[in-house]
Amino acid sequence: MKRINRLVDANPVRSGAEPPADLFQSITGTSTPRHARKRRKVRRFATRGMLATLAALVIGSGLAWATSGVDPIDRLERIWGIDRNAGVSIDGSGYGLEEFSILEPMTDGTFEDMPERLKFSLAAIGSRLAPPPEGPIPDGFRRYWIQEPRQIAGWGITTTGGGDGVPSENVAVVSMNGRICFFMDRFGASSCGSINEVARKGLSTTVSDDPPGTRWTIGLVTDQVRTLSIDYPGFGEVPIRDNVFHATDLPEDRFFFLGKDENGSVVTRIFVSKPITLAQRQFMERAPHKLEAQRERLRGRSER
Amino acid sequence: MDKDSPEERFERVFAHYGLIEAFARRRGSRDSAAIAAETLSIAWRKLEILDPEHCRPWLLATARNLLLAEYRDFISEPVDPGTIEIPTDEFPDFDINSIDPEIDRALVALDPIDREALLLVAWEELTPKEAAESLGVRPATFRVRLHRARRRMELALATGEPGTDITHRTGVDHP
Repeated sequence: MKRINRLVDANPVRSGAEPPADLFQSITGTSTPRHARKRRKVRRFATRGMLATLAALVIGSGLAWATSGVDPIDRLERIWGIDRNAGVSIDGSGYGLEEFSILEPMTDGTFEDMPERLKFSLAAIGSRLAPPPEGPIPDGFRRYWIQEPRQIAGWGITTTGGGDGVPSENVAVVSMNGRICFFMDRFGASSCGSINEVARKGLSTTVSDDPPGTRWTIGLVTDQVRTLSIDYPGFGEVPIRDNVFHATDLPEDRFFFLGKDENGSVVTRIFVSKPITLAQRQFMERAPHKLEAQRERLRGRSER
Repeated sequence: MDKDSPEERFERVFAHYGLIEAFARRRGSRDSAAIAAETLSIAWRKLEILDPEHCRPWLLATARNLLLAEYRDFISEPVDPGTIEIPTDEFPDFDINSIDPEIDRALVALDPIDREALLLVAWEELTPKEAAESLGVRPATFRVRLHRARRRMELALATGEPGTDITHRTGVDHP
């Protein structure tokens, strides 16, 4: 018992911090409680993790292409064991077409027009890792991906303006399997959400030090958002084009983008956290070791 | 403000800001205040399903999911396309740093989910029933997990060989 008391005494944080003075008002002032919905958080986070990994894969393969002459998309398809043209059908529901003017209805012809890289990203999103076999894992076993059917209602592509030393980005928006997905071409992929989720808090990605010394957010909002602004002293409106915004001058603090409708009412709140610190970067550098440790534990568990 | 207005109910939920912020900081969050703010923002939107008098397990489960997203953002950067495996069904292995190095080493020897069971009771001061709810397991399952975690922790401290696999050395099996 003494040893457990020692654990209690080793608590590194004796008490939590006080909340920021305006947080309560900020939360309760601009939105209303909603009815309970099925929780999809974990699944969405898993998808996000996969998408971020896909981004790294695409970048890595792009470099490989430059040196070996192998088409990066073909290489990725071989690695993942998926086919970017398989399992695609047209979703006639029109999901998202009313809310996102960037989306054009999907037809057989428009799928042919879709960039190959985007087709691959969609195939990757519609895939899941197969579970490991029962019992000990045989030597040389490799996990593989199961490709799910993809029903596409519409898609569209646009280019952002960039600015402040940040180049423009090609982005795509796709309505697939009852979700709205937002892709950054250069990084391979971004994230997906329901219409309601995007309407409430957008879909966004914030990037630091690319190019060095810059920090920017790229994101998606619905047609309902007529004006978008950074809710922080000294910062103002951010232009929206084809439902997409690209803010290249951000506060060095956590803040919200506020999207207002035609009546000036706030309908979308997009949270952006503080820039990461040097200590946090060091944590990131240690992270691959944690991933390896996690793999070791998985192997050990399978062998027991 | 009405007695049972959403704002008043939310005030009682909001009072747990410190609990969530400390929980996130203990698990190595890069922005514990943001995790707490986002957790409470979700709580506000889901207020109808929350009991303000008994919301601590839900708040910590939500914060854990947000931490998991933050953690995955970290680990997803540098990967080798030839060897990638994504541990999507694994319990998150958060970066725990106590103020006692020996405790740290003993904690590292535990499975992440056993460690979480122990810490929810020791540091977050949840009751076993609350901790079970936060982890989404039955109270009986949680008690077994907690007992096992305590035993392994004590063994790790007693042997002074932290970081080794206590399970193998003592013959204690995973259920």
